Amino acid sequence: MSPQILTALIAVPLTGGGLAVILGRRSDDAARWVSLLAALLTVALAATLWFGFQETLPAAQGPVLEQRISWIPRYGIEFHLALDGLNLLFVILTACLGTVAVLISWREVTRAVGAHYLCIMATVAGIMGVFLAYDLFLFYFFWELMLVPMYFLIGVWGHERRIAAAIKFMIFTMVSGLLLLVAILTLYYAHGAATGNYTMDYTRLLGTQIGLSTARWIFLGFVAAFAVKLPLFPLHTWLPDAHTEAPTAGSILLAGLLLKTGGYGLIRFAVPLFPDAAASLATPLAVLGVIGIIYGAILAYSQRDLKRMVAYSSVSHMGFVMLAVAVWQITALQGAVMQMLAHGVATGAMFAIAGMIQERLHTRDFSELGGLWSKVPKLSAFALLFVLASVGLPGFGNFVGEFLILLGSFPVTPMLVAGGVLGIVLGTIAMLALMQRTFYGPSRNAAVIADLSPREVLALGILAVAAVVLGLLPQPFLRAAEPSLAGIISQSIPFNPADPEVGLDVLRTAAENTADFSLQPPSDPTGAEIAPASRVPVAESAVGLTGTNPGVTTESSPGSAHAIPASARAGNEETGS
Amino acid sequence: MTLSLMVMPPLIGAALLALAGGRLGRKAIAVLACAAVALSFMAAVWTSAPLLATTYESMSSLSGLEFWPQVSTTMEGVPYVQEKLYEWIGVGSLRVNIGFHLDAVAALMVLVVTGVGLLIHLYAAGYMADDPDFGRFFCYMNLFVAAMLILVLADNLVLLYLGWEGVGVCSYLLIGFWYREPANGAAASKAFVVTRVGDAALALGLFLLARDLGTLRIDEVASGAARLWAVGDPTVTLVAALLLIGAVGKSAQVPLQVWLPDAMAGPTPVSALIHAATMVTAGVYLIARTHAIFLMAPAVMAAVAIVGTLTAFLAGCAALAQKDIKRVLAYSTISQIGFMFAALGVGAFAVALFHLMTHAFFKALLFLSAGTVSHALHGETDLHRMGGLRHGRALPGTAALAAVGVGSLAGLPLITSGFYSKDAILWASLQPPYGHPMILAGLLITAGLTTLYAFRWYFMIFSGSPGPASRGEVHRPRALMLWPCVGLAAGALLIGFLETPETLGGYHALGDFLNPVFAAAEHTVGGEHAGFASAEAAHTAELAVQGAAAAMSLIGVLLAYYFFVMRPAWLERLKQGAVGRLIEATWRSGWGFDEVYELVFVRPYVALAKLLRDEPVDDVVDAIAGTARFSSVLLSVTQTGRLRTYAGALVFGILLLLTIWLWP
Repeated sequence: MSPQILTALIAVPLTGGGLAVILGRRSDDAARWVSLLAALLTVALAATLWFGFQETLPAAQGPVLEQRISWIPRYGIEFHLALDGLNLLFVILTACLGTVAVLISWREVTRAVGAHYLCIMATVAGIMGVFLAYDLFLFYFFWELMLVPMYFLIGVWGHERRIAAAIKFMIFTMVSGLLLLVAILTLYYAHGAATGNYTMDYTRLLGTQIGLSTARWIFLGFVAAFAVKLPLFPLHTWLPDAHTEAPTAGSILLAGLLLKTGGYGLIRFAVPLFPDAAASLATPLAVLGVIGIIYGAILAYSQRDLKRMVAYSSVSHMGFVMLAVAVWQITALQGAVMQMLAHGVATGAMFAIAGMIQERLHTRDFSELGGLWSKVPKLSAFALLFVLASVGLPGFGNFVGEFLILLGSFPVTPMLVAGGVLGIVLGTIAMLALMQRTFYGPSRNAAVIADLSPREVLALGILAVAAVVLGLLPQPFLRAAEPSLAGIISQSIPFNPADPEVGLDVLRTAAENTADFSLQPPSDPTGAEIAPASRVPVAESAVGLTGTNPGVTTESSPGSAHAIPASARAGNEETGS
Repeated sequence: MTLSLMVMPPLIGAALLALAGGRLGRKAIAVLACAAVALSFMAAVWTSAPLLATTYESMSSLSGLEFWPQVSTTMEGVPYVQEKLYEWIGVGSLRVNIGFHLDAVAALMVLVVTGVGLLIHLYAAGYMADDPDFGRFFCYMNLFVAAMLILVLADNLVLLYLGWEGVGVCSYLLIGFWYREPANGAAASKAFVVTRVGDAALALGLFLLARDLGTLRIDEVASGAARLWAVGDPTVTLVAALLLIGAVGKSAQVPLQVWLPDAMAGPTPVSALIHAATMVTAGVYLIARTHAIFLMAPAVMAAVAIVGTLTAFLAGCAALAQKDIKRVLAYSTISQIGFMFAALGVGAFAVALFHLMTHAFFKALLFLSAGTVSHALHGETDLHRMGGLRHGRALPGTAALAAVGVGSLAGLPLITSGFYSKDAILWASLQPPYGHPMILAGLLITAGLTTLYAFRWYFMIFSGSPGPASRGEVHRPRALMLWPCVGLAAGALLIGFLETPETLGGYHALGDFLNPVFAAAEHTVGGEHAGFASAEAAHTAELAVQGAAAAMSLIGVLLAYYFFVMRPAWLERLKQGAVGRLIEATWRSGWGFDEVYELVFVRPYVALAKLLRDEPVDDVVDAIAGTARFSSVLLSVTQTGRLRTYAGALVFGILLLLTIWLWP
């Protein structure tokens, strides 16, 4: 397959957006149709990739398709896009949600239609670039590129308090983005100084040897940007404002795609580039993730505004992704990918529904909603479906995601998993309250409103089918991501003993040998040999992990037992089969 | 395609009703929904028949025919039918299939679910005939049957969990079916959330099993646990405890029973199907299904027995004080499931399932009768406003059917199925190693209570003089509502004879069928002569237990007749006293669990949510923004544009610097 298809994934939506502006001067409908065409073309490209690589994906740990164009050779910067199983899934999600966003704003937006579609399509293009970039400079370029049109989407086409929300969004993302830039540059110079090869290439920067304390700062620079996007408690406060004030298409892109760039960045860049630093900070990150799960669920329950409620449920759901990344085991990461896909679909749909209600009733306030089922049964039935998906009902993708994340994390940190399970229960309370306040009960609004139009049924139908497919047939997606994730994990050695059997068995030994919550499985002798000599000794990072005094010696650090007891391993082999 | 033929019809039915329900007529909807369950029932019979044939000589001629699904046997010699559809979730070494497994226990369950389910669907077609949301109702009902069958047939715990959550959702949807009433929505949400607390524990149990065993297939879990853990190992005890919490939530046992009485907000056929016959017994099924784990955790076995006995007693008391026709039955269901839990806890798994089956028939019958009564009285549910419906043109047929149900619930000796199943539980509760005389005593007292409240219920509706509600014109039930009850009544009378005690013939059709599955338990429970010195002693003891049970039942009927028919005034006087008032209030509120939970969980949580509503974290962000704004104000004050201010500031600054510089 031609590698140009990767560039096309970015160029097609961008071109579509440009054409929308030009044609939009003549007619709004032309802008809509050309955007829809471009979006559908993007879906077709993504589908081509998906079906084209069905055979090769399960075998390939690295990229299956790469495009390199020399860009600024003096600084080692290339236009380098690459596709593997991991980002392919996100590319598909982006293409699909982009189409949904176009369909959803068909009637909602009447002002500066062409520019609106340009913003949507430019955001989609930027997100595509973020997912595909294999050059850190290019990555940063797309990272900033996707923010600008989003800023305008919120600020121009948003609701009542759109300006404040847009500025808040911009400040949060810009500040964290600058930290990312500083981190990238520091890494660039550190790598250059160590090897004499100044490059922004992701694959070459992997395995850069940096002292733990420096690495931690650079890692935190990456994490700052990604955690704001994810969003990680307590950096989430831009999200409810931005989601609430954004127009429907903006909310869908934000919740469905922009948040995923944070999770993707953590998995693709932050942890693999700085495995030691990540290990040493895993505990606080995991704890923050679980706090976010619970906190988001509580806040969701307490909201008075439909969109804010969905926004906080996003905070809750994305906390699971942070937990998985902190635990850094294949099962949990598989779950994180599923969680992000499923959350994009289900929460995107919830925002679409909120937008449809707003469009009809001109309110999102629960005190003015209620009893909608009797008025708009189709819309309500769709809402019920996505509410059930959001509470993690088996049969929907969210369940697969949460289940795998918790399953993978349990051997490492049972207490935090228990916290996550508590968060699911609290999330259920919130989502049932949403259902009750909006669709059940007596009607509080006399307005006569229309049920879904065929276009809306189509948009929600796509998402409904996707949610169920992710829930009942997740295996193709899991299989697609598995080799890439395994490859990424093997590149971040300190996390994982070099055990050929990656999976539950590894988790189990990790859990058995760590009395305390330690995210670092004791490396077995082979693993220690593979680790580069300059890497920080295992004991040191384990100390940081378990949160004990840095002066503690190896003997007293619970997470640092070096050898796995033979009996435990034997037990594994016996029972694991 | 063998076992999935059972699951598919209701699933497809639900999908069709969801997509096209609005366009179909009522008759088409009813026919579609009932036909789906009927097909499912036929598939259940078809797949269970060869299993029956392996047990019973008389049916062995079946086994040679190609027509039946193929039966395999486990290493322990337990026959089963299996079907794997596809791999659902496969990550690392964990492989989870969409796969079904039918053994004797599952066969019993699917026959009950589809059989009783079919009768209730037929009844509902009559009962709900005037409801505007007819299609939505049957969509949920069909979906429920499908989810319940998945729960029962799952060959692994994750798929079981899918069914488990699926029935929970259908329960939620059907409790809140009449959504315009906010109270119904609250009851529905309460049911879902409370059971989800149990589900959360269940999920943790699954994670623990997956971590240590690397599999969640039910058969592999059983064998793996036996290899990995010793009896009483803390880990396996923890797993069993977590599974128990899940079962307690779903089956409405203490302390998570609070949702079931409120669940009566749903339409009556829903109460009959979901909140009596099938879903609430899922906890019993779960423990029976994973009995291998429970047998390795004696402490948890004891807990199961205690929870069951305690629940049976507490709910029995509560049932005695209810005013609402359905709430009596709801507490009765909680109490009867308590009996099943007690049986599970003493290791008598087959006996628990026996009671599950008889209970499914007589309790569904009672609910449907209650529905007919309410329907006849234009929606009246207050027992105190009823009476005299047995007579004349009122509801003689329903009265007779309800009498069968009540008699079976009370366990009237010899003629009702409830007698046989309850007696089996009482007898088992005495047997070593898990049995204990205290459990027997608790259950015997509860048996007496059961008769009392059962006949109170019956007498208040059907005997005496007509109450305010039953004086007027009585709405005659449709034929479609009567005939399913006749079927259930026949079951409530007859199925008890499938399993009779040693003293009454010792016919063990059901035990022979189920017990191979529980072979591991059979070695430990009872022992020779059921723990008694000799066969004669055991025989005497069994007779004594039966005698006590029969006496409890008969005395209860007499007491109920005396209190509620002959001397109602006397009881009223008793209730006027301080103690009487307190007892009535406590029992009517179900021992005040709701009030305590409201105080301990609900209010603090709502208060916390309110406290956090405006995002305290954002205060920090606002503080940063505020600081920036404040500094800007401070600095802009200095920009006066007047020369003298600048000069003064300059001099002041120089002086300040000099002072600092020259400071010793």
